[in-house]
Amino acid sequence: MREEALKRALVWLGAAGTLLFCLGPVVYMALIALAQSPDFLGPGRGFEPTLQHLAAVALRPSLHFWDYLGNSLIVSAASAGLCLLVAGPAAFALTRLDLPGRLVILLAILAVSMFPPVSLVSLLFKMMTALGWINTYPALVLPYVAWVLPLSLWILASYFGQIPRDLDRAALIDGCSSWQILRRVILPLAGPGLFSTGLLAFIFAFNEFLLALLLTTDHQARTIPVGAALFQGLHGETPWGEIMAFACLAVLPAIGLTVAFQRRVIHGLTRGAVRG
Amino acid sequence: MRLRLENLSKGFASLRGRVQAVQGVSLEIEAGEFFVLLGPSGSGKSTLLNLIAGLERPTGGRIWFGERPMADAAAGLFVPPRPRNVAMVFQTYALYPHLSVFENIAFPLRVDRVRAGDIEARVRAAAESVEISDLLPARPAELSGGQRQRTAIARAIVRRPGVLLLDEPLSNLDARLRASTRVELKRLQRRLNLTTVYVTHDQVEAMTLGDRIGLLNKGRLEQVGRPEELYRRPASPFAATFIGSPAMNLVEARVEERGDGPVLRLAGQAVSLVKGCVLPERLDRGRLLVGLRPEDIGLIPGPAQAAQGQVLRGRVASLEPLGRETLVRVSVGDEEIAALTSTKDLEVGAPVTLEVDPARLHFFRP
Repeated sequence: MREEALKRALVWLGAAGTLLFCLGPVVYMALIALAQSPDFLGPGRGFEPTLQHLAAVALRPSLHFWDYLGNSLIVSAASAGLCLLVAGPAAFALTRLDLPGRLVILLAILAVSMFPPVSLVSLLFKMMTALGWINTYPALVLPYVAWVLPLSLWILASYFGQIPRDLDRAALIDGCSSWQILRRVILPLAGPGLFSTGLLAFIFAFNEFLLALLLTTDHQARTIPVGAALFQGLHGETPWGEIMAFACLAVLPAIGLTVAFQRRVIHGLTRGAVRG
Repeated sequence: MRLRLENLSKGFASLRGRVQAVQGVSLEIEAGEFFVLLGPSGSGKSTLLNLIAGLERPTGGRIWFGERPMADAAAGLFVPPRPRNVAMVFQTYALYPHLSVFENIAFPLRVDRVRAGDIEARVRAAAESVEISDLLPARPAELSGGQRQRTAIARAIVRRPGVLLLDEPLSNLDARLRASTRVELKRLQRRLNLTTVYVTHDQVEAMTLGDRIGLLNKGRLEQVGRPEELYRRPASPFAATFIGSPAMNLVEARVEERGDGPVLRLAGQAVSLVKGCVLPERLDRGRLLVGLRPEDIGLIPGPAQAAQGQVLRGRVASLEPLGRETLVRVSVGDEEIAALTSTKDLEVGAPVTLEVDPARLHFFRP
């Protein structure tokens, strides 16, 4: 009995510790965003709640919050969509068709993804300048797609690989062409896998900082993370409250997506581990 | 639809080198016939079925459906499954998990762009014929093994295929369901008069279902014939031991000439062959393999009364009660011969006499 209680206590302690570790900074961020002054933890100060920072970020046009958010959503959605459009058929070809050397192809793709992005940044900048794409959506979308494609392809390939081959053969007998097999059998069955892969690509693009910093110049294409980081330069002092308010609002879409679809994401990512 | 296979071969490149899964198979299957491809695993029977279906491309030989050539390795001709109008039932059933039973059955019709009204009627008719009308809204995951199997059959027959192919369709069912489904399958095939090719490794299934059986071994056709032909006149030691249960005894023997006619010398004993025995012409002298079916051997407890004629003397080595009968393994010299008997009071080690009917012996080249 006591052992049981101890066990439970330890589980709760572990869970609480993990939560504190992960959520602590987020809570701190939210508190600063809601505090009258950011140094509310200092001696002689108290926490006075206010919504003025949030309101400022949301309502002051010069801060371009909605521009940045819009850019981020468009770039992320385009990246995710394009990524699935390429990775889906590619994974189908690599897992279902009699492609010679498909393992070599998969490994080569994995090798490509090993390049640290920093090493490519200067070249990308020169390329985008030459194309005249600096500060446009394609300048971000194309590198993002290239960047998440290997991971997406691997996830989808393992996902497609678990769909029994007999289904393809049955569909072939039932009169389907390769495209029809993909459309009528594989894609519907791979729905959760496609969805979680797309979501990963979306969140990656939404959070990406380095390329967005270098390849955009203003609110026409700049994304949320860069907007938050460059916030401070606009005023004389560092407006912590507003920066944190900005950050709070910026993570909402990502959190919303994950919470709304967590079941499907977890199902999609762990399908290989457990049968069914 | 009449099927004709001519010198059909299929080789695969594998890690172990080249594997010849099917070698020089020539075969004709008549319209409306229930033809069973029987063989142990790895004998090439599923590959042969896939070649007929158009799921695989032959590396040699030709396939005709009626008068139409479907594959010709030499001429580079290969017709994919769709225009062949074949239907197939897979061992795993291969139902589409994301579709209802109705949509599973309707799938080939939808791919064929059949009119919606016709689809409805034909799906219901097919479901009716395998008695799953009440399951149409269910998903495959909600079905039992037998129900899935029926769904797979309904999907196969709904498009009125020219040829119905079944790849071990009963092997995932439990024994009782397998027996009843076997009967239903045969009835359905008769009623629809479908040319059917059925793959199995189970000789009981082959014997009960097939109008004819093609016995495959290592990619080659060992023997083709009606079930009782394969049982009565096996063409090779492989056919002899593969068909019939319990398996036929195969014993090395020698034919000797004696004053009163030929004698079979077997496990150190002699069996006179004069009565009712026709030796195949080319096998009539020297060493050969003799086959005796356990059910063709008479077993008498006790030592032989007369030490001559068509008997073998031995001792009981083991007993396997099968219910109505008992399978007795008898040591005869240094051979062991299995016999079926309904005699009850036998003990291991007891002397017994085996009566052999020379007319029921099978002779093979060693």
